[in-house]
Amino acid sequence: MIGDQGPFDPTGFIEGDPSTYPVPLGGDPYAAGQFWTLTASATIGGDALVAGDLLYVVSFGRDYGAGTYGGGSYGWNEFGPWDAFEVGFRGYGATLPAWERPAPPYTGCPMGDRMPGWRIVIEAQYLSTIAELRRYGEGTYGSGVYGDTGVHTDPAVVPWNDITEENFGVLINVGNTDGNPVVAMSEARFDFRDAAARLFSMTQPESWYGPRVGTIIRVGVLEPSLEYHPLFVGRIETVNDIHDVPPRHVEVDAFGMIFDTVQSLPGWSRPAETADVRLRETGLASGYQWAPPHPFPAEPGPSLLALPANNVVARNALDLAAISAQWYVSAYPDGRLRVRPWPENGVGGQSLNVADCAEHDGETDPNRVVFGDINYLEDGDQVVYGQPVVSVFEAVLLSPSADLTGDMGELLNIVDLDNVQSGALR
Amino acid sequence: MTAARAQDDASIAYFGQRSQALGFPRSGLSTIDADLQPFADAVRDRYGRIVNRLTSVAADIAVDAGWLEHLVALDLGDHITFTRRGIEPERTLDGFVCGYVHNLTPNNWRSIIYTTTTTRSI
Repeated sequence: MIGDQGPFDPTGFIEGDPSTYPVPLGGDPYAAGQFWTLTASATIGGDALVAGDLLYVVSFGRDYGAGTYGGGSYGWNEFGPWDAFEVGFRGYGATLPAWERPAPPYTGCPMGDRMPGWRIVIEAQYLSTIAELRRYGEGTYGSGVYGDTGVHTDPAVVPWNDITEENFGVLINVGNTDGNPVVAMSEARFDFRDAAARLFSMTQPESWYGPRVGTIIRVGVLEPSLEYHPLFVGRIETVNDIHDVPPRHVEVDAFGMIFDTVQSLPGWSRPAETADVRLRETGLASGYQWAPPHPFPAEPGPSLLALPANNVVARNALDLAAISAQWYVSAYPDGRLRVRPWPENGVGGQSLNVADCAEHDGETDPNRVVFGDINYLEDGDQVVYGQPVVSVFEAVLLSPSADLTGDMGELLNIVDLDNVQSGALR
Repeated sequence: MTAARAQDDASIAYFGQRSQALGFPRSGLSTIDADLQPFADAVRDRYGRIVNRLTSVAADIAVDAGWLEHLVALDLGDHITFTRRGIEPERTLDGFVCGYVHNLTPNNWRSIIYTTTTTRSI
């Protein structure tokens, strides 16, 4: 049986010692999707867990020499059954606030044969049953909203619901195309084939217990190791339910959290202050709650001039304050806003080494033949004036195409700046 | 009037005067006077000689499954080096990720990664 296997006291748990492992209900073998609820704190697999967190059984294959002859199957059996000697355990922070809580293991859908073991998980944050709603007589005065449908309740406790469909399509657009310090709002388009109309409803009370316009939606992927990577978190802006020809097709558009800062701030003014204070206060005035860790690159930020009273849009005021400090506002993949130096200085992040072919000479693997389609624009003949490569990359990524331009679209050889004290541009 | 101007004469000689890009010129900044000129200089130094650019790179796990571990962690500001092979000596363009489009469908993941180049053209 998969699912909840009951409570487990991890006090005596020792990794590598199957005699200390939790046991599946009914003497069943271990299988993907089984989990236990911890009754005490423990550190398992490097994760610090507390009572109420979950412990999932996982397996990454039987090692040579492990187990007995015939005592299992060689290689990786993705979903089980597994013997005790071939399993491990991975904690899941069920007690974390919703915005830090990863997608649970084995949720969502497999991503396909090209990505064995990888899963895509599309989730929406809402109260899915009437049992999760607050009813008359529950809680304390002022502690919530009666009969709320999930959109306005404490986001830390509203559960994520897996709404992944087998036939998914997700298009995510993040950042901009030119490195402009004003970053476009992140957007995502979700395509669902919702044959049974289980996801979105026009009528009440069904619509109270499902995703709808305004609901927080996110998409991420689970690695075979069950590590979760968020790709987009935003709020549903539109739902387009297309049912002219079966099956029902639903398009959902969502905007990232920067959209929440598009609020008017009439008569907005600020004293002389540091940039981090300016940004924090401007965000708060728009209703945005800065989430930890500290979202600003320096503490304190550079000093800024006082702002005279003006009618502004918070998003514009945020961008102007950030640029004034040589910063820019964007969002983490998990949706939280952040402020980083601009132009980017290469602090943090990963390094990508991309090439147009695997080997120029001696290509032997026909499956690795890549057509290095480089699209030149303008005077692209003078494409590369860089430095010769002096090191051999261990991992070079192959790109099917790359666009190289020489159109001076980002060339700035005269830079004019004016501040609020200097008035209009000359 | 307090204002700052920074210009790159060699670049102007090559390419002509270019002052309109990436939202510049900027006005209404709250930058204090002492920081205004260093700010203008920094932008000029960064963007004054970038003409030949790697504007975007396509990623497709059907072409190279190695993309997968990088796409899941892709973020604005990631450093990117593009090598065009088969020419001697090999040349590269360096830059940073400034945007991307992920397209996930059953059994495939394709992305377009937009970059801002840092390798100078002259």
